[in-house]
Amino acid sequence: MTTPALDRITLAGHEVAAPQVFGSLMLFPVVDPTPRADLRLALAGHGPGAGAGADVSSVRLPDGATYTGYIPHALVVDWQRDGEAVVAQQGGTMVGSRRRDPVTGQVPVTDRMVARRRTEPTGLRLLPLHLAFEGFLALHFGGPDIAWAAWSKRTRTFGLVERHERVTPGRAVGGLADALNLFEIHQNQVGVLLFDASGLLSAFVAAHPDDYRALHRTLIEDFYGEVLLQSAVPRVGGVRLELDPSTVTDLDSLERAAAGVRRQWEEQAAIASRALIDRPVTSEVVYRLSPFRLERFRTGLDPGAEEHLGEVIVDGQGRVRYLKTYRLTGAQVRRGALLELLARHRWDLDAVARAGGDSRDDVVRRIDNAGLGYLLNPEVLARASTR
Amino acid sequence: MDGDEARRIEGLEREDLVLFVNACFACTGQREFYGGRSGQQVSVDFLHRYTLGNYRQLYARCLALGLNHFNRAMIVGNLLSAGAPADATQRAEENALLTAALAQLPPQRVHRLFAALAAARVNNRRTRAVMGRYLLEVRDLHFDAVKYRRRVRVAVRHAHVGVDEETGRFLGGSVARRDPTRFSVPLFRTFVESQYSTEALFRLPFSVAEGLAARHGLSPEELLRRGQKQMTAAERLRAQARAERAGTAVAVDLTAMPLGRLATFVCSLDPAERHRRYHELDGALRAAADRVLRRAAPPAPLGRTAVIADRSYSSAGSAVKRRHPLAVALGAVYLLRAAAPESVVFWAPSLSRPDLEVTSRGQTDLATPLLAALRARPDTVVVISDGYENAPAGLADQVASAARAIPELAPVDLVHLNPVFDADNLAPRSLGPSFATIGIRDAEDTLALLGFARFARGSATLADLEAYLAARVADQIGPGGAL
Repeated sequence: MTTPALDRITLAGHEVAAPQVFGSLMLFPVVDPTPRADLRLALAGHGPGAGAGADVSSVRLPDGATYTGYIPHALVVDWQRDGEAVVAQQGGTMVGSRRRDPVTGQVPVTDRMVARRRTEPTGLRLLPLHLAFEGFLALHFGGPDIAWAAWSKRTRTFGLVERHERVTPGRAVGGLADALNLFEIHQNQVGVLLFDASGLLSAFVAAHPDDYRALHRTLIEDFYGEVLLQSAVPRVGGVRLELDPSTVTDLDSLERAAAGVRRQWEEQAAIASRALIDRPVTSEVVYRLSPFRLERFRTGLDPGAEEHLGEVIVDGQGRVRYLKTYRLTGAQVRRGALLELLARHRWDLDAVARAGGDSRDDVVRRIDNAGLGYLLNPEVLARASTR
Repeated sequence: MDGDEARRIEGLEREDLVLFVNACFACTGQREFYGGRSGQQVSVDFLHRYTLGNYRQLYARCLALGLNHFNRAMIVGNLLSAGAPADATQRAEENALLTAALAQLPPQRVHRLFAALAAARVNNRRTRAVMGRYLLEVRDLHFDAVKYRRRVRVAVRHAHVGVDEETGRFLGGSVARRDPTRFSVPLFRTFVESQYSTEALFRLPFSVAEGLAARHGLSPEELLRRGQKQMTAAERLRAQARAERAGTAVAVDLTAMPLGRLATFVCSLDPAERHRRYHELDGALRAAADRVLRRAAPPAPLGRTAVIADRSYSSAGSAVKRRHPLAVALGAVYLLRAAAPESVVFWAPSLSRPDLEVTSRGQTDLATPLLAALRARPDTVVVISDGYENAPAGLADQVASAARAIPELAPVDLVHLNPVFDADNLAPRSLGPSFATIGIRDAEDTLALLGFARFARGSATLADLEAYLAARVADQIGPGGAL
């Protein structure tokens, strides 16, 4: 039986508690009141002695080529078909050193990262967010199917081979390390929604409270959009919801009023995370871990809106058991939207220009400004920029 | 208007003083869970300077208030640095307070204060006299010369303290010390002998023996086993974990430990071990609480009391104050149970195990236990928390203020004892205006601080506060300011 992929991400079955605010960051705990143990996540060791070598893993492919991947940290997913509890795995060691751009401190994400590999018959290795990001990078990866002269020879022959995006490691995000350190984990907390002044930055939901407790610190190892760096404004999110004293006549009504404030906080989280939760998403099933499904999704590519992509594991009832999202930066959204636009018009620059009411040079300049100029024939680019 | 102006100034002065005293109950200038060390020090240093500059007499009188040791030492240091006041009565009172405070402070803290005064080149006549009097009259000079040798040497040199010839020789040269026959004071002789005799080493104070242990090639196990008869009670308590690692045992009499220290010790143990030793630890905590009650019974009976104790993750404190907020909460819970047997205790988050198996876990939700506490119809609700309420923020205060409007509830006294000083606000972090927030350092002070609560609430006038201070001063140094 094939179930269709998700059309929206919901946190049904989870409760969102009141946020904890640290400087510009606001963390909403996601609580699962009835945690189940049939799906578990654990850190996969990649340190010395873990078998896989250090940060960099190499795989020799059947055709003689070598695939090399950089692995900040990986998760191992374990599941049971019959709903029984999984025996929790031992967490591995965290990776210490990393290769970084010496100037910006950013870790380049190389495309075509292997995102899943079976470690043992019942386990699945997952590199957090890489699956989702791979989907974004692979967007129209094939390149033009008609050999328009405007595109460079390389693009025409190989597609978007050099497509890459830059992301920011959590460590470079001001205040995130402190916020994670000082955060008080709730009982039965399975996830967190991370906000800053500009909105939702990342959502992370694990399958089980123990897993979350173990993985809480790995949030610093994950990558975020550059948006975090730009919006390090101190002290925002001073939202304060008031209890209405006029409804209070006795202790019972006081208790109801207090519960009402808690409910308002949940609604606050729902309002703040509208850009992701309950919004239509494009999703595809990547792997079936019956009865669970591993999917990757993205919300859309509207340059004016807050756009997210991520990966999710849902159970047979469509309930989210694992969720990890990444907020695309404005430039990334623009690039994605441009690629979609080009693909829709079969990579014909004139058609794109006609559709948008611009000149062909405008389109070329837009492509260049979006950081995709390298895909074009250099002469076309030079002509457009001198004119 | 003159009257308005006077009232405004009076209110300002009262607030200043309450702020200062409150900070001095909690702050120790050490790193906290939510704040760094330098911030704490800058913040509390400012408060001291401000209060000394504006209210010198009241500043000195705060010495009688039972502030924590760190702040008492700081007040003494600041008063000595500022020189003696010109007014004779004020001078006499201040001197008496200074002497009394020094005698109450632990000697290592006083010696550290003297070294700091020497480093700051504070060398007025009163400072020299105070230092000399402390070394020669309050303390056993020979013992201190051995145990705090370096600091005593600094103080003696700085204040020109007239020590006897032998002490001078002991503190001065290093070569002379090699010949024990030149000393007649037994402790000096032992110290010199200990340079080559292991047997003599174990007749010295433990901290001195510890420093020389490496020279004798002693294993940690042997040092603890043979040195333990020289340990102070606090050293015994501190050495427990070390003794276990070294595979030996250091006898400790838990039943004689003060409540605060005992609670810290209990919180330092693994929950499994606390479970195993439940009866021993529970008995010791109860006994310690009873001793506090016998020494300082509350002036009036407490009535029905509900205690809300925060055991959230942040109560784990910092690396230098490990589990301090949790230990204060545990100690206060035991003390309040002893003082008001019908009191009810709520941990936040709730605890399904006995009190002394408490661990710091989870978020800070104080509204839920407050609602439960109100159902017990208490006269007083005591909240012990670092004030960082986050599930959700500010709800406890809203519940408290709404509860005041409920006709069927009798007015409830809400007191918030906060073991953590918030450097940014120059005060222990408050839960909101419904609570009287007071800093606390040691669980033993819980009952005394409940008496201070009316000042923190702002219901008492400056005259009341001054009268309260004067009464405490009279308690300590006798009426009229004479010793």
